[in-house]
Amino acid sequence: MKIFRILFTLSFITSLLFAGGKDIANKLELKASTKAISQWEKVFTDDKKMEKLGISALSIKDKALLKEYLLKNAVDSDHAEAAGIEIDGY
Amino acid sequence: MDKILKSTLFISLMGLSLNGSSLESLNKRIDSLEKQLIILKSSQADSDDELEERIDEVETSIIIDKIKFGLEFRTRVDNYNVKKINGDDKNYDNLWSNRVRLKMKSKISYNLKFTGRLTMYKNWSDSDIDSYSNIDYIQARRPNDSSIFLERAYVDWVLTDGKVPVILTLGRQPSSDGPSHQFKDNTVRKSTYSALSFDGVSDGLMTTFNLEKVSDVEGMAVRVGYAKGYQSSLSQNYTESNNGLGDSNVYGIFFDTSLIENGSLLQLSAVYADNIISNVPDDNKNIGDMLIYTAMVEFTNIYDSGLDIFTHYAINQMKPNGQTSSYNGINMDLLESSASGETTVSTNNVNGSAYWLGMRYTIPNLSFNNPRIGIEYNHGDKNWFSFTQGSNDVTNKLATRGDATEIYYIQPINRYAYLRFGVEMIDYDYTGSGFQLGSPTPISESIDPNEVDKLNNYYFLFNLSY
Repeated sequence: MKIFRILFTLSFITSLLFAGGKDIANKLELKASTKAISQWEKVFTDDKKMEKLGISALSIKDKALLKEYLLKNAVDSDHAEAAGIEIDGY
Repeated sequence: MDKILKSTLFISLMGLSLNGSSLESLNKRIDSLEKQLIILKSSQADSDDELEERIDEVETSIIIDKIKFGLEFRTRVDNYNVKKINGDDKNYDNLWSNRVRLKMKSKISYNLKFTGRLTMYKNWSDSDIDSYSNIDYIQARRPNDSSIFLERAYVDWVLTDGKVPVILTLGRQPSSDGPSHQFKDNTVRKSTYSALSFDGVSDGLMTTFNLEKVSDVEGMAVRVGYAKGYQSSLSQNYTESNNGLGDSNVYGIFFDTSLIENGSLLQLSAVYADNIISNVPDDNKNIGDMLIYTAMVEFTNIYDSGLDIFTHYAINQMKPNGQTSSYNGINMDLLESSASGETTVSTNNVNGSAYWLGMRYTIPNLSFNNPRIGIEYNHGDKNWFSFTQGSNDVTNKLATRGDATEIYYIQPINRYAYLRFGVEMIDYDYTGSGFQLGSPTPISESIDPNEVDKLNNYYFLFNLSY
């Protein structure tokens, strides 16, 4: 039981330290699986769309993190496979 | 449109007041504008109808396209060097193979999803198919003819979607190429189980209790599963066994969690399999039960450094039941053999263990598309045995009772394709790696002069996944 507590605490701390593209996407209410890779790529070359989606206001680093997350989780990206996961990626 | 008309009217009225035109002229102009307005409205309605029809066409097409397809294609050449205990040192070079996978996905409803994979895997121009590659859990995992095998076909059914979603996965499971093979395969996680303990095709049920919401930890879940390792049926009526064999049932429990967001995984598992069969033609028996415990952890792109690392450890406990199959004139049980001149075998429990570790580094060089290099090492002891007969590689290196090292280089071509060059070096310490039958003996004491002592494979492959 002690080991599970340690693992849980470790997971919690590290998840706070490593807030990445997923958190930014959640804040902006962007769902990666609603677009294909090429569509997300187009978004990041279109200033009007970026402004509309709230991406323009992000720092360069956050923008890069968000783009990486959205491309990795786009509907046609290479998704993880295991029993009971990958519910949104269709 | 209204704005334009109003502006036009306003300008017209202004014009009228300015030049003092007659009332008749004004009426004519209003009539004319009214006619234009009707034509414009009609035209707008037509345009809306056309747009709706076009959207309907796209929507209909999406609705009737019930399955989304993906493609995976691989061409590979292997060059083996085999050293046997009798001193033979031979090369088997230039062995080419193709593998095609047709991947399928379908969202049936908000709580039902289907995933499948059809696979053809064959050596080039090979007509001599080994019957071994037709065993159920090996189909699509070893070169065969150009037949298409159903490697995966499962439905994820979300039973409850509350704080702890419960998902039932039933069918031909995602049970091959599991963690941490994804590093070498330049992809992401592709199976439920650690590949050190299970790699192959499997039919079963898995219930996932998703703990992400209650723990706020990505990937945290508990899974309990049931599968068939072997199911006997009478060929004529499919209702009873005529070979005297009991079914082999597999029960498992798994705990998954991430340690760092984006690509880390810790998995602890325990799997019990009963009535394991010997698979000896004409003398097939249920030879005992088995327990396997596994712990694994992997990290992807640690601190954005491009470094990935993983380590797995497993313990197997074999429980032979005293039933034997005769193989090469010797009575054999689960990792036990009869002594010379005797027919019975020990029923004492036998324990084995193995570990597997490795790392991969992504070289930050955009002009070369960020190539990757990796190294893996695994070691299994005398009694190591697991369910990896349908392994990721033909050599089943993770079953080695001895040492295996693999070094590889991945050259991405673009987002979808890559080349991989690699070498596998396997040094066997004990006989029978990957087989459950008979007591392993040191390689140097093997009675079979053709026993392989060392196996090296230099390979090159092209892989496309789209």
